[in-house]
Amino acid sequence: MAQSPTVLLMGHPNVGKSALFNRLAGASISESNYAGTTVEYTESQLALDDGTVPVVDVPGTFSLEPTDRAEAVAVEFLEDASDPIVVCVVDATRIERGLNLVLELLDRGHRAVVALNMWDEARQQGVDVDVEALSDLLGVPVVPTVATEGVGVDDLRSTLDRARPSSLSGIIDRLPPGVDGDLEGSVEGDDPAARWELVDAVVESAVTYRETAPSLADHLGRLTVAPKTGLPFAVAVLYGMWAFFTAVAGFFTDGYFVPLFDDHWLPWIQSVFPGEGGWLYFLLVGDPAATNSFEAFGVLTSGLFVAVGVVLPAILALYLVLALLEDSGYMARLAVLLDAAFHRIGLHGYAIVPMVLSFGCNVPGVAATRTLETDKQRFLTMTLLSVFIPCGAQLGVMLSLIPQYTGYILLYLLAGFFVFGAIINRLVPGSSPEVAVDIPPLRRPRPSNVSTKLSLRIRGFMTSAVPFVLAGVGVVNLLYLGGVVDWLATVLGPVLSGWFGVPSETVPALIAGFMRKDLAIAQLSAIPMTPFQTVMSVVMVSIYFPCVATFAMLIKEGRTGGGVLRVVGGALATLVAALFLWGGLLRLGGTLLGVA
Amino acid sequence: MDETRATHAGESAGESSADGQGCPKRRQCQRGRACKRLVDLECGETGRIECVDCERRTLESMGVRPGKRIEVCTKHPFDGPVVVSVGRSTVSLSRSHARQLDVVTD
Repeated sequence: MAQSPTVLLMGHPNVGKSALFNRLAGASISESNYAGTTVEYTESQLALDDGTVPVVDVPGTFSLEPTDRAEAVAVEFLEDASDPIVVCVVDATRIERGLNLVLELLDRGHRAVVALNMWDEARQQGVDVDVEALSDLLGVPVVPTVATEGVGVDDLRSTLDRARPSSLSGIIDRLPPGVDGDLEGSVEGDDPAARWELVDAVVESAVTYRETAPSLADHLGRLTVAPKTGLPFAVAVLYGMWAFFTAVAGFFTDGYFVPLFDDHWLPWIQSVFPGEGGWLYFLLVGDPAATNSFEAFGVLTSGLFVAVGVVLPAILALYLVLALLEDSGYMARLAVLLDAAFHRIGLHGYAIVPMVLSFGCNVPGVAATRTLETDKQRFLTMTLLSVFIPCGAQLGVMLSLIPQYTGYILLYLLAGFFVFGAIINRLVPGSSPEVAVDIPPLRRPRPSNVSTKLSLRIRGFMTSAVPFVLAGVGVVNLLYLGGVVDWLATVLGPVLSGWFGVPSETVPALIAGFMRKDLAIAQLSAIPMTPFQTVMSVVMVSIYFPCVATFAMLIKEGRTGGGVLRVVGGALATLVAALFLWGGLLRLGGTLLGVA
Repeated sequence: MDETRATHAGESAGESSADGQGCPKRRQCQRGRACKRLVDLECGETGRIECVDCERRTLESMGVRPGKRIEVCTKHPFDGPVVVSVGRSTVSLSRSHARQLDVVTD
């Protein structure tokens, strides 16, 4: 096939580029209602009448002068593509600022088509756009779309071959007489003020605004962002999310999977698997006398149970509440409410996005730090979340083992997040610029999108996490057989009992923690410990080394976030300090209270 | 705590004076009477943006630009952000942004 031009979807953050991409290319990438959902480009093939062309979903950018890593990706894409067709996706409800970017793109000589997305919302809000007039004026095709519903997508596809460049001076010439007479000169070059004047002139001749009464969502949107009403609401929302998560995870795990595995699967496989006492039996089934699936610790017993019986229901529940949080537009409001607190640790409220995503899984959390502006902020956030934020899988196992303490452990870890954040903020050089954040309107999450997102993430879990859990059990068992575990227990025993007050039997859990945190915590269940020792060891495993997937992501993101050595070295130093200090503090507290 | 705040303020002050020329329009706005810094507006007050610090290109591309009507929705305590509504957008500005925006109040 001849080199076909690439179609780039470009526009401001949160205008629906990913939604449009999914409808155009039949793909299913994540769509949400907050700026910065897409931090990496996604490429797919777009079927046209005469063959296919590559189409790319580009991260959102406010202008062609990038301010963060995700925006830089967008601009690089534009510069590297050879004669691309640019689909400028514009939020029709905020057509002015969208047009500003359109003009910037046209000024650079790109062939373009304009997609006026969220057309339905614009009509409801009293923004009437004369599409024909706008298209004539701009000199490029303009197509109204509602990407989430698939409206206008076919039109957009068929106009792609009519994409063409247009010059700003041409637009000025086409302005109807009487509209803004002082636009005599040329707007070429980088004069934002002149470009805005042209935007105003275009809007004046193609857009009319009707007065509309604010909707219920508008009122609610305001109340949720004001401190007096918003903070109690936020507490209620977060507590509600937690309550839902714990209830649903417990319902499925305790109600169905525990009986299924303990009463049926475990006794059955213990009796039918051949070669009891042999190494293969030990590897795959584990303890022949175990009566519950946590303690058996074989690949096919504990491995399967943890992955499917405990973690799967937990992350299903957690991803559901996260999807609602992402799609409703509430996440940006949380960011505003927490902004002042995050400023104390050198971040800003939008750091809540990687943090919230990390509760699902640390890996996308680390990737989401690309929307932060400076290397310092990225380092701070990546390190803190990989050290202090337990992922959904880990929380699921904690809930199953020590439901009465899980909430407190989470609060202790979050406190560590802020305490160590404040310390690192003082130690690490670099700036923490202040930012302006766009607050999207509150929207009702669409069930179809929530279910797509859920199935995408669950599929990701089944294909990338489950093998790691099973392999993790296998590796720990092999190390047992090889005598490594006993050796490490002797070596680390004094530190473990001396500093943390936990028995040296926790060593296998620490080894498993390299692979998966959920597995590490599951492993703790088999060790006879006091309740405090259990809490202590769970906190240790949480803080201690990030799982291998997160670690790989830290290395990958470190390359663009200030150097691998700096990022990974800093993160390791932080986690060692956090492990000994924050862990030690917990033991000290326990000793003082007389429970340790 | 205060140290961090001071650094933020210092940075932003340095930014606007570093280019040596400052914002030409900014000097025209003689504060007093109707022209105020955005940070000095109360919740619910409205006005017209007179001048945005020239360095703040991102603000302009978000639609916060001279000539537009602006309304202060909420101001967060502890030096928190100022949420404004401009055009059809709601934008959360940091305090230092709000100090650099001049508004002619109604």
